[in-house]
Amino acid sequence: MQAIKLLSFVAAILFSLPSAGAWAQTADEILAKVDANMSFASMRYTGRMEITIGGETRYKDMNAVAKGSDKAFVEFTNPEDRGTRYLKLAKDMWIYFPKEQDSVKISGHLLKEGMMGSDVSYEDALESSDFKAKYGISLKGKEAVDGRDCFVVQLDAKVPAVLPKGSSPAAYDRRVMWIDAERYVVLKEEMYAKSGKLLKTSATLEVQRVGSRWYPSRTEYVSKLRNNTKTLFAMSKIEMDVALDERQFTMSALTK
Amino acid sequence: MQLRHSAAAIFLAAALAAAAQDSSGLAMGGSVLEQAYASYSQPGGLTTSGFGYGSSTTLGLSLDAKGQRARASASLETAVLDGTAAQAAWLLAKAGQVPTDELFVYANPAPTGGPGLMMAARIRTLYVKLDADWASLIAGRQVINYQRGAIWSPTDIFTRLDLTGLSPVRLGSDALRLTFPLGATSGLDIAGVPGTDPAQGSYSARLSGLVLGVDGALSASRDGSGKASNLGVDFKADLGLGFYGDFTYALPDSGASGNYRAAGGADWSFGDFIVAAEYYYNGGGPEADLLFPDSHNVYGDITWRASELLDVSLSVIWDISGESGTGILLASLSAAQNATLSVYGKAIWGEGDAKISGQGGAAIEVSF
Repeated sequence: MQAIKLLSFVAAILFSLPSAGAWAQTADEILAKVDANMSFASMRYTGRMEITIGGETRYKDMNAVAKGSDKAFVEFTNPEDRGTRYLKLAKDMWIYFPKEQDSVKISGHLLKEGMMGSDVSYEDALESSDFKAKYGISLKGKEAVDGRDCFVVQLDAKVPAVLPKGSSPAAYDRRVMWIDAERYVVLKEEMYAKSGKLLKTSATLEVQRVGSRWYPSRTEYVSKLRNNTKTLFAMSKIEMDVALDERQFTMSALTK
Repeated sequence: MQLRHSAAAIFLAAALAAAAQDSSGLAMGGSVLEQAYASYSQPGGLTTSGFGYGSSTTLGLSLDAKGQRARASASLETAVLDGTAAQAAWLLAKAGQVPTDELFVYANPAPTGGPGLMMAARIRTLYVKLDADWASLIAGRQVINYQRGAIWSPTDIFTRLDLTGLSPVRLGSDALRLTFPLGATSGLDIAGVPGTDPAQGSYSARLSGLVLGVDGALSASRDGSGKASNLGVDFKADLGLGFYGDFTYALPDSGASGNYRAAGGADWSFGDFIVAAEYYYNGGGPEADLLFPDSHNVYGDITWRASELLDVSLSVIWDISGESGTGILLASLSAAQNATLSVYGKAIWGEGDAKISGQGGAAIEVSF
């Protein structure tokens, strides 16, 4: 089954917090509908992160392109970060710092860091969207979120021994998603550690009609590991299935 | 010689024109950095001795004209230097140690003891780039950065570091560079910095790629000024902590036995702290590396993420053999949108004949 992505940060791409739900027969139908909303052959958009830290807010603007779920390229355009770029190729990611004129592969301890000071970690961005491979999925019931009926779906991480060869372990031990029962968009998500501690939450604040699909265009993320912070990610000028130059997704483009 | 310069000028003008005509995007940005400090230096150092006060105001501008197949880019700075900042620049100029991308201008006729005010102009980068499906050509002043570590990279014969500021700055080279992509993460990079005498120039071919999760490269280079040919290998990988290595073997033209230089380092984090450490061995002496001529050198940095807006870091570069080095304690606060406030203390041991000199100050940078 094709991989699924639900909530997205840098659009189901770079910063994507993909999510999916599936259970038994009905799960396949939901999966297919969510997949239809969130999957794209290619995508281009303009984004803005509003990172709130206590009473302070910092803005990060960006232009992003993506091909499927494996290739993404983001360039920041706000004055402080102008020229900072990210390249994602499958499960690898690099960042380019224009001031230092240096590119760094995101790995090891950096994976836990927040991207550009946001509430979303690199690990979130790199997690495979193939949730069925990494999580056991179950339906927990139905609840309303902001007046909309939702399926409540729980994803429990599989033990590494049963994961497909070469795949990285799940980023979270448990995820709970509230999926809009009409539009098949994740409206709310909670991510937990093995200890049961709540690590992160997300809430979709705006869903936009893009062509024939519904897409979350404003999402708020809160990392519970940080003090009094939240990150709002807003997408605009969203274009799906556009023609993109393959050369944009290369190391050469990253350091150009 | 004149013919070659004329040809280069015509080529640059043509490429720039192509970039402008093909331009689908023009971007401009910049920053203003104001830095003020108090300093102390013992007699014999590279700055004036005793207590002093200095300040600098730097305007940085970057321009980019980007088209589908062509690009022109410039990064320029101009600065006003006052007090000991002007004195230090003046002494650097006297010692012939002006950074290669910098031009000092005396605001007034210099008195005997040095000027009280100077201006500096820096062309950090100024280049054009042309893209074909199979290759890219970059010509002009550019930073060719092959570096894996924070400070040292023996295989990189182009990058020169300016370590006089609060963080290392890579200086540009006036180069011609051809890059051939070999897939998304691999490529062949051929670069040359011919200078005024191509026989004295630097040239390199480098094959890089991502193999089994490791970023690695093999290179062969010719260092005309050092009169040596080099073979090098470098990599960066991840085993829970990030680690990297860089090794080059040099064969001198003189027929003397070969020598090697090597650097290795790692970075990792715990809690709110990020740590980096690096070691550099220079077996080639000052002929191979003027900035770090001694055999054993180390670098360490620890950064404390005190809050989401405040970082505090301590970094040290130490020449073990020469018993000299630099330490910087720096606190950086995101004071407002696009504004960073820094407070720092810097100590330099063993510069010239002075035992120690120091500097403490503050800087604020606003980007636009």
